[in-house]
Amino acid sequence: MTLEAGSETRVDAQPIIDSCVQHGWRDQQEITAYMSPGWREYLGRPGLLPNGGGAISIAVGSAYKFPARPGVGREAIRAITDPADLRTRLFDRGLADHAVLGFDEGGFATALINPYLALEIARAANAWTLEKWLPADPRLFALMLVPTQIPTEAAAEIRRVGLSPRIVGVFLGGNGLGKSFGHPCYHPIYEAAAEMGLPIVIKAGGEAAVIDSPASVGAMGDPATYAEARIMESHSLMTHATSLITQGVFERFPSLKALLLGGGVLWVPPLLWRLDEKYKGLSREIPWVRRLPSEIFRTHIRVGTYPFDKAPTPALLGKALRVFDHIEDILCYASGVPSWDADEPAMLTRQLPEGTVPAILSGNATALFPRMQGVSCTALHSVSP
Amino acid sequence: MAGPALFDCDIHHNWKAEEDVLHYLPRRWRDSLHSMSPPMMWLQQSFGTNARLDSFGAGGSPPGSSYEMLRTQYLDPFNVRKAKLSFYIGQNGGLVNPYLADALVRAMNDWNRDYWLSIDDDRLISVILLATQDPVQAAAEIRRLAGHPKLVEVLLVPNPLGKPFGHPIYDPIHAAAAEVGLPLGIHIGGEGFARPTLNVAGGQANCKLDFLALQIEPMMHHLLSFIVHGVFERYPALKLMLIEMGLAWLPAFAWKLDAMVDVLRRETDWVKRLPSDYIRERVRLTTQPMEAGPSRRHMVELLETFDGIEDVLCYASDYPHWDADNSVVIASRVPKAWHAKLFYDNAAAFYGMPPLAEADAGARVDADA
Amino acid sequence: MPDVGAESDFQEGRPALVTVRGREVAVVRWRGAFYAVAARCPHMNALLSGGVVCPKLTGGADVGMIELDERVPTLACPWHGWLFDLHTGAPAWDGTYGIRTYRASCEDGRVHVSLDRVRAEPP
Repeated sequence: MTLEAGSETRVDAQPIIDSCVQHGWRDQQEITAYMSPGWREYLGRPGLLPNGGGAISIAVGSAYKFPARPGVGREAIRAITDPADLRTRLFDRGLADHAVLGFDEGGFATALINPYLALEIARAANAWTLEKWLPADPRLFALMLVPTQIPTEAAAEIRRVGLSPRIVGVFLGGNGLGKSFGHPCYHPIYEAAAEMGLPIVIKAGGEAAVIDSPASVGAMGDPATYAEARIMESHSLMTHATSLITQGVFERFPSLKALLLGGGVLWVPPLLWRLDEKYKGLSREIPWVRRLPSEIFRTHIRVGTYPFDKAPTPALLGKALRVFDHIEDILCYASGVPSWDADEPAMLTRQLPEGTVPAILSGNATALFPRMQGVSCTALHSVSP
Repeated sequence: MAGPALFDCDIHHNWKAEEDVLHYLPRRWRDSLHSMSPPMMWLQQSFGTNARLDSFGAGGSPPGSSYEMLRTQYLDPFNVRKAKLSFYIGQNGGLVNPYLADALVRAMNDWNRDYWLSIDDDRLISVILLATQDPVQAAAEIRRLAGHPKLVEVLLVPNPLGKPFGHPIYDPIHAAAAEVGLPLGIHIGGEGFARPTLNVAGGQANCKLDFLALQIEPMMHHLLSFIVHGVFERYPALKLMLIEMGLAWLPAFAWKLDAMVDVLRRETDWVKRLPSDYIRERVRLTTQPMEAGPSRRHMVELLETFDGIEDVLCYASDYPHWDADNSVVIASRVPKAWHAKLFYDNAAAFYGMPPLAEADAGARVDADA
Repeated sequence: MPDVGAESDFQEGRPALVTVRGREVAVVRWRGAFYAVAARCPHMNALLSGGVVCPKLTGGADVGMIELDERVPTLACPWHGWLFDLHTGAPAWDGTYGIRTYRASCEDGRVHVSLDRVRAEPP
């Protein structure tokens, strides 16, 4: 479903909101430029020492690296580090009408073990997004990054940066405290987000991306391979979904919504069935959970489609999706561009059940991100290439 | 008698008094033994017990400790033909002192052999329990007890080393089990006793519902590790039973593994076949606690998205735990075409025993003899 | 109304199983009143008479609070702990799977249970 720039309305055009495009910085000086002079000086500039050294790297250190096939071009998965590049690789190819910028692994820097550095990076990353990205293309919206290690600072950042109208959600980034995200220590963040009318966003992969994070990659410790870490990324989403529900986040903040992405979608029905069944016998411990967990999930939680589950056959995928009641209410299309396993809308629409496509491609996103209400694909035509 | 003939793969048996087991513990260890179980994180059940409230024995003896009660409350009325006794729940080998852990588990295995396995009831079979902190010692325990006709499985519960059970550090256990021709069983629930792991990905459990709902995570991690580390390749006959984790998570997880097979192969030499084929050939799952889903159709159709699911399911009750299943109810939730395999024959084949029809015929011959 | 026993046969807070016209009924004595409900749990058919009676616990004004409502007895199934309000038969989560409630009373030291269905209101 490609679009030529400047064409008339597409036949069976479907508005597409991409809930997860991962923008990044090419050079950390782009970020340190927004820090205080003292922090910038401390972090340094390459060149102070021989061989280009002299700067403290703010890159996250991971134990896992995607093992790209040798000799295969890396072009498609090259980081997206400027808006023009994003325009070429996303909008010009007709892959979305609007996109929500949600940081690449740089966003997980909020789990870096130095909490003040994590705070400075979050603030700088928000300023950078607001100055470099949003003005460059009106089709872009963005998540703001918060320093989850210091929830009171995160709340202050939300009340400040959240005033910008094209900031549409709060990305929790890396889990620097290591607690499940429903834990009361994080509630000041949710209070601020709810106050500002912003949903929170949890993306899988932070534990693997940042060795500093105290949270586990896998329930039985560190897996040995990137592949295992990637396979188990839905597990942290299960943990956080469960925690948000059982720790009463949505009781305290009834207007709050959450988007979970990076683990595909089929982990949801088994977890919800399991939660409901067990809840019926365990509610005495958590009487503030006043509805079935699945009802709370359906009201407050949305799931990004990326990376969409791959089934042995289309028929089997159809069967699995049919078992997932009201899937059209819960999923938000997300590409995950420029990840190696990024999705495209055409691939998805081929597989989704009849009648679910409009909601999944854009309807649920505009409900989840209220600041995006009113966008439409006609906006595309008003943009000069 | 209610319900189909059962090969029950998970029943939790217990001692009436600690002294029954301590009797077997060398005197040298008794003073060091401050508790029969390693400390666990605090999360507890309503009313302070994880047992069915009606399974306490006469005089308050612990659930699962009385053969008479097991027989009259469960085995006889529910048509149980084979009952695999798996301790309550076997986390005792997770004590921080590996030597004491090993001694305690040996004492438990001896008690089990002398008390339960000497009962004249052919239905009763059981497991070799391991302390897992020292895999070499654990391997010795396997070899010590293998050969007893009623010990059909090697059971892994606590995980104090913080690596999933397929990791090469556990190779002595894999090798010994393969050598003696016994399958491995993994029973989830012992993770609360092992500090090195946080028990869930991404955070911790902060209430019992968190803990129980998310226990599927360690089970998936264990299963994944057997495939990635090539345990099934190195030991061509070794099999694995995944106990008390339900089923609904399996299809989507198997799909993820299969979809990722190319990437898996770039980082390990061991994934020679499609991951789901290893599962179909070597792995079985107990049905309990069987997820209900919004309707019978939902659950059955979800399970059917794993090709060959009817060969992989093995019934378990989990008697006398609070979340035990009722076989009559389970029978109504699954297609009749699955019943023979699910309730008896899959487990019988897994443990090297005759299928139900043959077992019944054999029993008739014995009775006539 | 069928007589199911002497008042002294029923211990405070301990459910008892009686049979009324062939139907299994769990009878509970609680704070001066008698309650009767269908004895089989709608989940997996456990006998509710083997369960525990406790006052209702509810959420409070904020997350983390557990409030006690002494007026409402709840019966916890001995197997999976499903909780039923003994006044209304409703499960703790306000969904499907309630249990049938019957009229129970105590007069002149005898306990009676009627199988006429009761749509009892909570206090």
